[in-house]
Amino acid sequence: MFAAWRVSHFAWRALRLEDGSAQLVALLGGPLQQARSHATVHEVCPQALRAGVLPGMSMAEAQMRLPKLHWLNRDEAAEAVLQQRLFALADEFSPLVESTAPGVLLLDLRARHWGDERSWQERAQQMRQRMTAVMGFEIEVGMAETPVLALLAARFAQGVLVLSSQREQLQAFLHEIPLQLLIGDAMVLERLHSWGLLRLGQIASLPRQQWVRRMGQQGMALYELAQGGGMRLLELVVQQQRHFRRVELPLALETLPQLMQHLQPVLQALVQQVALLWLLAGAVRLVLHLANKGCRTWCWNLAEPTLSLRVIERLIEAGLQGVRTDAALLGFELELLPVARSDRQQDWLLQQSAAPAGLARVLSALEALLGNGRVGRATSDECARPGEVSVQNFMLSQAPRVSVHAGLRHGDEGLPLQRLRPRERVELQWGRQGTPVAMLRRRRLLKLRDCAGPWELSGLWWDDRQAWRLQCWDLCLEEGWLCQVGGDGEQWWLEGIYG
Amino acid sequence: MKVLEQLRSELSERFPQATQVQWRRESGDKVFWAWPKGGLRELVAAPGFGASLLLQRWLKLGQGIKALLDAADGFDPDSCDAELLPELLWLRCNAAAQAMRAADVLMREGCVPVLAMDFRLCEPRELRAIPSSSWHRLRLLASRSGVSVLVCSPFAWLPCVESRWQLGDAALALSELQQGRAGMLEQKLMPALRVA
Repeated sequence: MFAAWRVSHFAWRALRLEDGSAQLVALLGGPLQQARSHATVHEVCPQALRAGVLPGMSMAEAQMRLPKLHWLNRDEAAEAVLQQRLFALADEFSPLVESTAPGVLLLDLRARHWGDERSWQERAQQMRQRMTAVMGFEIEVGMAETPVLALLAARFAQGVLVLSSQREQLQAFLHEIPLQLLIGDAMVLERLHSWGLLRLGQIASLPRQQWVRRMGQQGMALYELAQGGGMRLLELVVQQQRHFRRVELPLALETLPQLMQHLQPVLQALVQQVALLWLLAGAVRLVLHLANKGCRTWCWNLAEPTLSLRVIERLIEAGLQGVRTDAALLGFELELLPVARSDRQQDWLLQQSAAPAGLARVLSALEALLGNGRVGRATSDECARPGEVSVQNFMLSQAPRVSVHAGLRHGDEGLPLQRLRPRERVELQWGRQGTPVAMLRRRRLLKLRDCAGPWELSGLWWDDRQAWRLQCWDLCLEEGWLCQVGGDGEQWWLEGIYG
Repeated sequence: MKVLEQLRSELSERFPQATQVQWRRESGDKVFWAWPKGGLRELVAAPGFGASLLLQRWLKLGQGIKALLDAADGFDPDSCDAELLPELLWLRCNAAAQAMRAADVLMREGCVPVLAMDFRLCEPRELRAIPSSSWHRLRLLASRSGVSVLVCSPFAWLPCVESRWQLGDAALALSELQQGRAGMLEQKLMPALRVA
């Protein structure tokens, strides 16, 4: 048996507005300023719904029906918190829970043997009462043999609805479901209505093959639903348990050995905690709380996930080596971020090494020393600006992606470029032919022997916030070296030096 | 030709040191591409004279895991040799001192047999601030762990190298950006490579 929980007016409930509030509220999906012209109603309070304001209406339509309507933006963060609270409650009834949609959860209860249909009815009532006691509002609970039927039961429940496993009763329920509640595409719905099909039951009586030929995949799903729906796997939500300790020190500390002494027992306890779950430590997070009320945070990845105290201690020591703080330490927070055992071990680099354990230790220490994302294989995005690269961490095993910028690619020809990060501001002097003749760099005027370009580059033009354009020139200086400058036509930067 | 050989032999008798250098110049390419285990070598070249190409070829021909310690974060993957890139461990540093510490960590275990350190874009005063004892320590670590190290620097600077190579002015032109790398190495860069 599966149970579906559905919270009606979920976005409105997430804002914690009172049920009995006289205020008529409608929620908008986007920012209020933009919404005035384009946005539609995302959700309304029960009173506004009764007054005829429906989700999907434009603001003007809604205000025509209810001039006193109060407009609010939906709060996605608050919705996530409410969903998490629902999930915590669902966990009391089953460890196998799917977060199907905002305000909708699906519980796998097949391992529960609660007897006949009446017992399931009682259990569903218990769930609803528990929810009312904890959350302060009521939910709809649907139960059925398959996930899809349970969701449908919750959709049409007036409190609680347990669908019988008897075929006749099930068909009777399904046949009465209006198609407009199942089909979102207005054109498809209109076509079905023109054929005289208004309810799900009418589809069940049609010849399957011809129906699927006409309606395609969506039609097949509808047909299967009309026949009682099929089984599907749930996308289970796994509750993350944090392996975390916060320690307040009895005395202020000033040196690394003192800190390591205090860290050791905490680390040991956390490692044991992770080991109990058959997991490995994949990363370490450390926060130091200072006497001047400041704090400093580090997060180090382990190249090879481990439970070895010695390896983790060495990683922390390498990361804190040479670190100076403005004030003495008053406390710290230590967290181990666990990974599954089979998750990260087959790595491209570790496979090549004769001593992978030693290499993993070295890579972890190097990342602690140089910073996250600064040790590994180079990758870049095809749409990114030239020179914008990232380092693929040793934890991942996919092949690297390297961008190809037309006109600038010298993978097998020409000279490699040495990028200046950050690039250096220069000024170009232009000749009569519209080509650069000299470059002013660090107050030195460098005459050019030759130039090539401009190479016009652009990327992400479909995204206003990230779009970029760049004009590049390859320059040969009289001093005998080659370089690349880039700019927007007015301001210029030395991007790199060839060779 | 006989006259030339006679002159050479006479010169070698009178100036043995000079002729030794000459011999090394002639067979320079072979010596440069060799990997003495646990050796520390320096390639001196200012930015813009083609040392990146030599460095990448040197790394490509190495056996095992190859690491590039990029002291000034100047490596450009887009223009790197396509065969080298997937097997290159790139270590991005912000300063020369940080690169020295990273090299120390890397060489202590000896699990990366081929290491190139690129200091060419670093400021000279930053390089001079590194104590020479650090280099002696690195050389000792390299010889113990058997790591082949090539240090690329903008001026002759390392106090304790086994061999130092100087890449002279190869007189590069823009047309060379369209040429094949193998040809450029043979025709332009290797002739400009000298034992310092």
